[in-house]
Amino acid sequence: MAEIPYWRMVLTALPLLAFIVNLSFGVFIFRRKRILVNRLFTLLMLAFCWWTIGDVGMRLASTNNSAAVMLKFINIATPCIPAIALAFVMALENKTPSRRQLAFMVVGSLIFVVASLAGWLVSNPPEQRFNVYMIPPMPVSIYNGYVYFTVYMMTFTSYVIYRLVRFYRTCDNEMVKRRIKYLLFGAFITTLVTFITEFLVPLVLFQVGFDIPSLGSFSTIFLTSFTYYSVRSR
Amino acid sequence: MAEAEELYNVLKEKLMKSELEETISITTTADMPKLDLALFKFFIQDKKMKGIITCINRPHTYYAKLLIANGMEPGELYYVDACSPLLHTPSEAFFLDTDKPERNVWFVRDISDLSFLQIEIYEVAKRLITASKGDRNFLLVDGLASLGLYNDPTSLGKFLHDLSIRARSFRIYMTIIMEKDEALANLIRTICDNNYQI
Repeated sequence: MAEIPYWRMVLTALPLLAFIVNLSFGVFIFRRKRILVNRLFTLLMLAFCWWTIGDVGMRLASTNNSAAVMLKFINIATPCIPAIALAFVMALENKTPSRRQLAFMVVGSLIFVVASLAGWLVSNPPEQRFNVYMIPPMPVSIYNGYVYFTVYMMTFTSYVIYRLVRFYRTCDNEMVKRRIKYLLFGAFITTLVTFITEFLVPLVLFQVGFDIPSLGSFSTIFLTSFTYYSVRSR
Repeated sequence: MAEAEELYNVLKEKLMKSELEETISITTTADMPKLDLALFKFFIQDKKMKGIITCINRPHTYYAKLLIANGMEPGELYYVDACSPLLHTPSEAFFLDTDKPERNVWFVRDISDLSFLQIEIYEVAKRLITASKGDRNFLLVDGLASLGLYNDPTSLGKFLHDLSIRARSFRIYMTIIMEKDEALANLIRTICDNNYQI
């Protein structure tokens, strides 16, 4: 039997682990009270599951074409993640999104889903690095759809974190406040790892000779674990 | 209406003057938060006691804020909260699973069945006794009028009777606060060692 390369094994196992954790926590939250906030968090976990299992598929792909298909599959879920996260945070705040916010959440996600399916998001097919298929390095150019995707994802995610921080500051229940801190910490680590490995490396760092594997999907495990801790700790 | 400081001075004069005083009732027309505050000052600041608060009309967060605002530590007390499961906001519903106790807060989902409240109070009392290592503790029971809305007087009377006996066995100083025209006033007077009018 041919020996499986080390990086291939590790980089396939990591998102698989995150998939299992996200799925378990999603089921756990789904089985709690039938309220909007729980349903939205389950939806967020499902989006994470989609992303992680897509990453596993891409890393296991045997040809460049199948890796490209998997990348398109992944990018059906990822543009929706900030919108779902915003809906979840607004539900936590007990606020209903305005029509404009709702339209932005839906249209913003749809634009990038369509762009991905049409092949405008990533200009080149995935390439093999660390013995697995990954997002190809791309130039920072106004003709590159991934730059817009990066701006969209980071701006939207920052706004979600900003709202969560604002809610943390205004929350008058000390116990809830302590728990939001864990959620914030998890969200911050996930966002930071995703930003560096999924956006900064392919767009900037790779060109200056610095390369690390994509760990965005795996990093969702931090958000999930810290949220689990915040929900379950006594 | 009496201010908290006046109430505190009155309580200081009257309460815990005898070792035989284990269960008392206070009949009052004073504002409940002021009386609660006066009792907290007496029990926590003066007597250095730990205790259990039954949160029937106000959630535990209210008491926590009241204590913090008056320089006391809310973490020292145990709360049996029947309010939060009814009042909770989405964030509380997400982070605080009210089916399970929360550090020093025990939640009661249904006050129309007093056995739920009874079980939680016993659980907390056991925890408190273990934590306090033989020191005397207090139990504050108010909101009887509200409990009376969901329960018939017989059940409420049985509940208070049972609670007072258990409090004695746990060496917990039980304080029942009642309104002047409380339906169970006669029963409460017989249960308690002393009855004070404030």
